[in-house]
Amino acid sequence: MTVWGIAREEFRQMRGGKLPKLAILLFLPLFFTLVFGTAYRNQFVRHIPLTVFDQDQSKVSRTLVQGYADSEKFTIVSHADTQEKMDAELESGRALAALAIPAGFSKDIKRGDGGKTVLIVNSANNTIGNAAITEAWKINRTLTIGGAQRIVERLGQMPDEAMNAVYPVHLTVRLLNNPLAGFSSFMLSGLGLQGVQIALLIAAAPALSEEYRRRRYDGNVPAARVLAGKMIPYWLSSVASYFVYLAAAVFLFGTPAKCGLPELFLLGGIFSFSVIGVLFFFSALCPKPILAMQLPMLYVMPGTLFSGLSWPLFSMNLPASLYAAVMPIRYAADNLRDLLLAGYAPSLATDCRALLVCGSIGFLAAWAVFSRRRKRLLQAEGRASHASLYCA
Amino acid sequence: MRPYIAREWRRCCADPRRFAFLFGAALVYLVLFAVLFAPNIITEVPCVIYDEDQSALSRKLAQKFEDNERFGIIAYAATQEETLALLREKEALAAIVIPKGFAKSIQTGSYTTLLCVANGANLMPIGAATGDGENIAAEFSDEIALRREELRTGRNEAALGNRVVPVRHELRVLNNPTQGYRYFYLLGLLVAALQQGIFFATGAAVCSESTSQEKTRPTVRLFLAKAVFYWLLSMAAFSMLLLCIVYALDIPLKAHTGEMFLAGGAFVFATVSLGLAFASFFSDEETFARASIMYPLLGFIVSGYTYPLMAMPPALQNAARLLPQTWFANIFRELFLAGHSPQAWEGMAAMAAVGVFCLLVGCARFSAKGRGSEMGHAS
Repeated sequence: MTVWGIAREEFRQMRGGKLPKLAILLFLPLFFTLVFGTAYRNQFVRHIPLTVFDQDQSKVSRTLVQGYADSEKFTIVSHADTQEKMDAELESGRALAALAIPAGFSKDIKRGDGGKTVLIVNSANNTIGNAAITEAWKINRTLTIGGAQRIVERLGQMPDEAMNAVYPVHLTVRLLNNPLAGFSSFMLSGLGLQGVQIALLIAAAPALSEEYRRRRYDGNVPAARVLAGKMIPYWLSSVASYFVYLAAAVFLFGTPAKCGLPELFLLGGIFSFSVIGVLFFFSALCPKPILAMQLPMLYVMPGTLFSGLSWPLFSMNLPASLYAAVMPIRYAADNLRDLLLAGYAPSLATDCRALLVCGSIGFLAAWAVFSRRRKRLLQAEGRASHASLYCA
Repeated sequence: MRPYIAREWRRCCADPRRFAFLFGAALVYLVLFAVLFAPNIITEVPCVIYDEDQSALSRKLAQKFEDNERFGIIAYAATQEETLALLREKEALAAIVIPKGFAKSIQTGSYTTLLCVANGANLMPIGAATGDGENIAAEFSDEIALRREELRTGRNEAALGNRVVPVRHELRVLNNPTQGYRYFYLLGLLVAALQQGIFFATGAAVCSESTSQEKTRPTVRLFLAKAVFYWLLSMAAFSMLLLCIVYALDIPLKAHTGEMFLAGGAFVFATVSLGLAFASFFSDEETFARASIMYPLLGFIVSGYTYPLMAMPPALQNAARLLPQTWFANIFRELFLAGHSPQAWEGMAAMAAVGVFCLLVGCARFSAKGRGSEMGHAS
C-alpha cells in the first residue's frame, strides 16, 4: 500500500464515528475563537464597581469623585456614609474598589498641610486590580497636579508657569502593536493555536495506538510509510483549521493581520507538523487509543501558560523554561501574535527551526517505538495463527 | 447501595487509571504551575534607555530606572535607530527616551516630555512596566518641582512638600497585596485539573459498564452508587489538594475549613454529577474522552477566573453561570485569599442545582440504556 493509499484510508476513518475527528479538527479552533472572541469583545475591563466614602463633601472632594465618575473604568455603585458601610460594600462584593476621602481634606490642602485619600482595591482577580489601580493613579495624578498648579498660581505665578513649576517632567506612553491594550489582540491568536493543538490531541494522538488494536496494514507495509500516510490528513486538516480560525479572528473580531500569508503558512505548517510528531510519539508509546489522548494532556493543556503568551518567557525559572522548551506552542504562539500585530516576528526563523527539530525528533522516536511494537505484535500474531493451524 | 459501592471500589482497583485521574491530575498541575509561577511577579522587563540629553539630570533619571527591579536595562542606545532596532528584535520590550534639552528645559523653568515606547503585544509584562515607569517619572517630576520651589521661595523642602504635591493618595490592595501571579492563577488551575480528573474517572466508570463482563443491569441505584462513590473519592482528592496547597505551597487558607469543605463538596457533587450524566450519553469511553477534552480550556477562560465575567457580554455571562467551575474557581480563590466569598452561598446553591439536574438526567439516561440493552438481549 502506498503513502497516499494509507492517507486516503486515514482520511476515511477521520470522517466516521459519532464524533468525527475531522469535524473536531476543523471546527474546534474556530469554536474556541468564536467563544473567546465574544468573551474579549469589550477588549478591557470597564465599569469596576466603586463605592465612595466622602467625609469631606467639599468642592475639591466632589471634583475628585467626579473624576472617577467620568472614567469608563469605574462605575460608582454606592456612596457610603460610614466606614462600616464602605467595608460592607467591599465585603459583600457589591464594590470591588472603594475611595475614601477623609473629613477636612479640602481644608488640609488649602492650609498647605496636604490632603490624603485612600483607595482600597480588591485584587483577588489581578486583571480587575491592575485596571483599577492604573486608572485611579491617572485620576489622582490629574487632581494632584491641578491642585498644585492652583496653589502656586495663588502665590503669584502665571497659570502656565505654575503648571511647569509643579509638573516639570511629563511622560508619554506609546504602545506599539496593541495601542488599545486590548485583550483580544493579546490572547485570541494564541488561544486559537492552543485550540489547534487540542484538536490534534483528540484526533491525531490515538492514530498509532489504534493500529496496535486493529492492524490495518500487514508487515509488508513499512512503519515509516504508515507514519507518513497517517500524518498527511491530520496535517492538511490542521493547517486548514488554523487558517479558518485566523480568518474568524481577523474578520469577526478585528485582530489585525499585518503579515503576509506565506509567513502565516510557514508557521502554521511547521507548528502542525511538530505537534503531530510529538503526539505520534505519545501514540506509539500508549497501548490503548484512550490513553494516547489522556496522557499527553499533561503536556498539551499547560501549553497556554508555558508558551510565553501571557507569563513571559524571561520570567520563567530554569525548570519551567526547560519544560516549555519541549512544547511546540512555546515556539509558535508568540511568533504568531507578532506576525499578526507587528507584521514580522524577529525569532520566526529560529523558532521554526526549533519546531522542525522538535517535530522530527517526535517522528523519529514515534517511528522507533511504533516499528518495534508493531513487529512484536505481528510476530505474536504470526505465532498464534501458526499454532492454530498446527492444532487444526 | 453498599454492594454497589463495593463493586465500584473493585472496578476502580481493577482500573487504577481512575485513581491516577482523581489524585494525580491536580498534583501534576500543582507541581508544574508552582514551578512556573515561583517568581510570583514579573521583574527585569528588558528595557533600553536612549538618553539624547546625556546630562547629569538625565543620568540621574536613568539610574532610577536601573534601580527599579521591574526594569532590566539591557542597553543604552546611542541613536534612535538602535533603540528601534532593539525594540523590533524584541531584545527590549520597552524603551525610555530622554529627549535632547531635557535638563535645560527643567533648568529654564519649562517642562519636558519623556517618552516610553513599549511593545504592547503581551500586556502582562508591559502593564506592570508602564505602571512602574509612570511612578518613577511622577516621583522624579515631584522632586524637581520641589527643588525649583525651594530655589524660588528660599523655603525648605518640608514646608514646600505639600504645595507641590498637595494630595497624597494611599493605596490598599486587599487579598493579594503583592498582586502576585502565583495566587492569581494557581488556585483556579488546580480546580480545573481536579475537575478534569473527575470527568475522566466518572467517564470511565459509566462507559465501562457497556464493555463489562459482569452482568449488572444499569439501574438508577447503580448510578446513584457511582455518584456516592465518586463523590467520596473526589472529596478525598480535594482534601489532599487542600493539604498540598496549604503545606507544600504555603498558601494559607484564610476561610474557615468547614466553609471550604462545604463549597468544595458542592463543587465535587456538581462535577461528579455532570461527569456521570455527560458520560451516560456515550457508548464508549474513547468518544467520551474526546468530547470532554474540549472542555478544560473553554471552561477556564469562560469562568471569568482571569478575564472577569463582568467584562463579558451578558449572554456569555449567563451561559458561564451554568458551569460549576465558574462559581467554584472564584469562590476557592476568595476563600483562600480573602477568608470569605460574597458569592459562596449563591454559588453553592447554583452548584447544588446543577448537580441535582445532572443527576436526574444521568439517572434517566443510564437506566434507559439498561432497558435498551435488556430489550436487545430479549430480542
